Amino acid sequence: MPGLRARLRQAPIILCTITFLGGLLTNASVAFVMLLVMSSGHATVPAQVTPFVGRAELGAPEETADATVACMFPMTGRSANYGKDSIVGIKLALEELAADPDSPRLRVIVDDSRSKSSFAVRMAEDFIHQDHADILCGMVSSGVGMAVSRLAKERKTILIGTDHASSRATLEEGHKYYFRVSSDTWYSHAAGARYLKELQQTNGWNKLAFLGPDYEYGRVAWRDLQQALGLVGVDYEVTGTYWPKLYEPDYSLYIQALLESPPDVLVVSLWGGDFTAFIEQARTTRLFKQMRVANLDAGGDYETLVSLGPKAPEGLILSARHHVNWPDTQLNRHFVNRFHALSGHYPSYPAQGAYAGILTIALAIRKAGKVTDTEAMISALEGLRIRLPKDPEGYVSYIDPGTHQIVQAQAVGTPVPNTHYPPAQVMLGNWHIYDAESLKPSPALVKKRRGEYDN
Amino acid sequence: MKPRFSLVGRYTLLSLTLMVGSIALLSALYAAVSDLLTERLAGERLEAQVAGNVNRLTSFIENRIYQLETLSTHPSTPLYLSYNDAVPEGVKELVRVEADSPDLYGVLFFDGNEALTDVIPGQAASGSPYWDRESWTLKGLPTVTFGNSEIIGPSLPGGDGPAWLLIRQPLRNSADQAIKGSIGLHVRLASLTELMRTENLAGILTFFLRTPAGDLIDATGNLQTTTPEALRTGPEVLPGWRIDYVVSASEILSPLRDAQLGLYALASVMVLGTVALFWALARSLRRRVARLTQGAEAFASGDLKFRLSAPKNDKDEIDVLAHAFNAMADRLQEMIQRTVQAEKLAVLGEFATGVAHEVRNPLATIKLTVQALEKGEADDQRRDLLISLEDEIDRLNRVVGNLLDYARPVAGAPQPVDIRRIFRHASVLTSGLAETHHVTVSTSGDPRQSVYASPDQVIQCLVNLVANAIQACEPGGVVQLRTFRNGDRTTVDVTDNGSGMHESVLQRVTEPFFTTRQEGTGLGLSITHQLIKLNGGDLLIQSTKGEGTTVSVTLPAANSDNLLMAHNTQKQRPADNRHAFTDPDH
Repeated sequence: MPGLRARLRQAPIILCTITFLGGLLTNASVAFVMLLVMSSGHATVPAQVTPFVGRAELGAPEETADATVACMFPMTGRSANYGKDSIVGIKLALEELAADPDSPRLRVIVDDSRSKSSFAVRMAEDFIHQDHADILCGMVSSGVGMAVSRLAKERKTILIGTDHASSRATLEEGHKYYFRVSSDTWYSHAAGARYLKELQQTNGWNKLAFLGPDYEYGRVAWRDLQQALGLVGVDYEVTGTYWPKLYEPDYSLYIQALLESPPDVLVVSLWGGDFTAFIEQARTTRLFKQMRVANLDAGGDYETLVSLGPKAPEGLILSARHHVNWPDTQLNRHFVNRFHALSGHYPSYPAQGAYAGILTIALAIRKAGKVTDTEAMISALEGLRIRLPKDPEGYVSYIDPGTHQIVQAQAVGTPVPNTHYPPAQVMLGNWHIYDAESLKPSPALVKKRRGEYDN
Repeated sequence: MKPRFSLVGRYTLLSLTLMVGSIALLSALYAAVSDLLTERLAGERLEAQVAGNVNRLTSFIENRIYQLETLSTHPSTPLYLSYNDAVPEGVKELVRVEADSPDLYGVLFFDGNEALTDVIPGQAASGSPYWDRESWTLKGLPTVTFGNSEIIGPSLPGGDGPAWLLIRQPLRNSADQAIKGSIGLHVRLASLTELMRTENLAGILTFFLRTPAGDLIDATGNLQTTTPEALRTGPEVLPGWRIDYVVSASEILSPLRDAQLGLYALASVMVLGTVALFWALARSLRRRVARLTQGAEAFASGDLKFRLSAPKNDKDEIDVLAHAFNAMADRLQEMIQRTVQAEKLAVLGEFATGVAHEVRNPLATIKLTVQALEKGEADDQRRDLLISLEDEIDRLNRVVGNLLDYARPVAGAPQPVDIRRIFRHASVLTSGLAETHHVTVSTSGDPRQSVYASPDQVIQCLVNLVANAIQACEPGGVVQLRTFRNGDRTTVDVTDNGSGMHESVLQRVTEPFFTTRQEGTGLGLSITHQLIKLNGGDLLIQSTKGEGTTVSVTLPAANSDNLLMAHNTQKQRPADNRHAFTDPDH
């Protein structure tokens, strides 16, 4: 069994640690370390025992595969839907590849990152050393993505980010092994800044507040928004910044603070269940009557739209990295309908990112010829052009060689009644479309973010 | 006379007093309840809430310290400072797991010079010192000691992100390791401040975390730039760290206060509205009552025809009173008329009795004398004069007889009388007059009808009515008698197509001595009316000037009941029916 010796080497160390710590460790830590022991050392238990819950292998078997791709997604907790939909997106991509005899045969391993950096880093190590993964992929949480990106850099392994969106991953922390195939916080907030500028010309808003999860993604989203607003020349006054923790169960403190010092526009960068929970609490108050609420990166997710029910709170401005009903192209309709046929529901936005990730890897392997030639793979990925469901008519996504970030258009809209995608009763409409090239960070901005200065 | 204090004014005053009194009572009750509520919400449970918050915050810090001890006392942890690559993978796992909490930005290692040497990002890690360490420093941050730990900070929220604090402990040196350094948990300050919650007191109690540097941090972890009014000093959580709070019951009670103000405003509007309404009502009422007063005064001054205008359907008590007034006026007028009539009759009766004594007997003597003279008179011309004198004596005698009939009416003995018989008598008795006036008298209806009345009086009445009708007609006119049964009553209509009467004439036509003809005595119709009433009947006259007149006589119809009654009565008073035409003196 691959990696058996390595796991057996690690197991005594962990057991020693547990023994040493004895009663000092909290119950949670003990349980977690035990879990690590079990996950990393499953070779020590009888072979017929079911592997760690969440792990699955898709595509070609190890023996016949041209490449092994290891992806990590949350499959438990508040963001589990994102992970599950990402796996469906991977299945769709693999179906397409299987239908093309010239495509490389991919073996895709997926496992539950549990949205924890420590867990994901450990898992990525195992993927590289035990499963001989050629390429890492996935991650929904930016914190997890950044941690795995550092590992990928250390291990010189290509990482294809499919959903986590912190722009720091491609700018400040960008490195040659890291690529991302979904929009990041810069693109979404650059589009959002232009939308807010147009809104300011309409209603003259001036006071702005920001509420985001207190971790990498939220912090970078706020910085991106400020920089983007500055670039498009929007004058505004910040009335407050609010940083609830990720997976915060109760937003009442923050809602109360917002009501006591109401801005004209509140930009929220909560995502998934967090954003749904925030809306559910906020809609019981006067918050939506007192301010326009915008979520420019993840708020337009299909599951969020479902949770809005028949009538969305007034004044919502939403966008996401992929929309079920935009662009209205044959490719997007085909993707959405195939996803629905396979899973029985419509996709949340990470699904398209995961789908794009697998197709991108396959295309890069075809161009590079061999997945093990990392340098050739990097060259193939840099500037790679690939038509994706998110592309509007006449546009083809490509990976910016300078940042390794995919360059895509962004659409911002507001909820309107629409029952074409049940159980959602509202979908986004009143679209404002911002083309990809106009959102791309300028070389000067990239240099500034990377701390590179021209002499 | 204008009243000194109107009834409406009293009602207005009473209503206002009740309204204002109720509001004052309600307001007093509200004030008492809100004070009680404030006391119960903010007073009784205040200490418990503050103590609960202190416990939560202290517990959070203690748990972090406990977590930190796990790492600081691990024998392999100092390797992070001396030889990072030598740190066992299991220990690295342990540190990553401990850092992987939403409350922590990460785990930080410091050397003996307090320089940051290594960072392990946690779940909430972002920015400095995880992606760059250049701008990150502990300089200037307050430090307090809590047991064997240092609580450093907080670093206030700013451009670099939210506020944080560092809980740091020295690494435990084992015998073979003499490495000086420390390990710290980089903690979200908001994870601490979020614990300053209140149960069921939202809006009344607001907690702030007072830092050792004197800054106030609100529950969201943001800096409170202005010190709230009435900020109370709370208990200490850590050395130099305190929970201060503001009790602002007004926040939660503000909707009630708003409602109270709204109530006062509404009450003021209602008071004004009531005054305006009562003022308008008083004006209307006074005007209408003045009309009643005017009516009463008019009546008092003898204007019996004054009537108040009132709608057909009563709208209110005033309308009822107006109708009652009018009904009273009608009855009073009728009663007065009856009294006058009775007095007239009484006077007439005495007069008639006198006439009977003083006129009729001399007239009889005069007539006998004239008759004797007539027989002895040879001169035709003189005899004609005597005959005329006789006729005039007869006419005078009839007038006196009529006068007696009217003044001393005698009820006839009722008995069933066939209409046929009545019509025949009336036709025969008026045929001469009809011929003279060239008027046709005809009868119609069911002649088998019969009435229960005195036959002589009924015939007298009908003859009188037919004679009046003939006299009202122009030559060629028609008088029609028609009879019909209406339940237990029988009606005889005498209709002519003569000259008809004005309304004013019609109203007085049954009054005694009222006549429009020069040769009339004005007693015929009065006697007829009187006799019909004596026989239990009614007389109704309808007339249109220029078109004709219909006089309807309605009498009890003859039936088995009154037949039996007539039989019994006849047994007792066999000769009464003759009294009607009999002068009591004869």
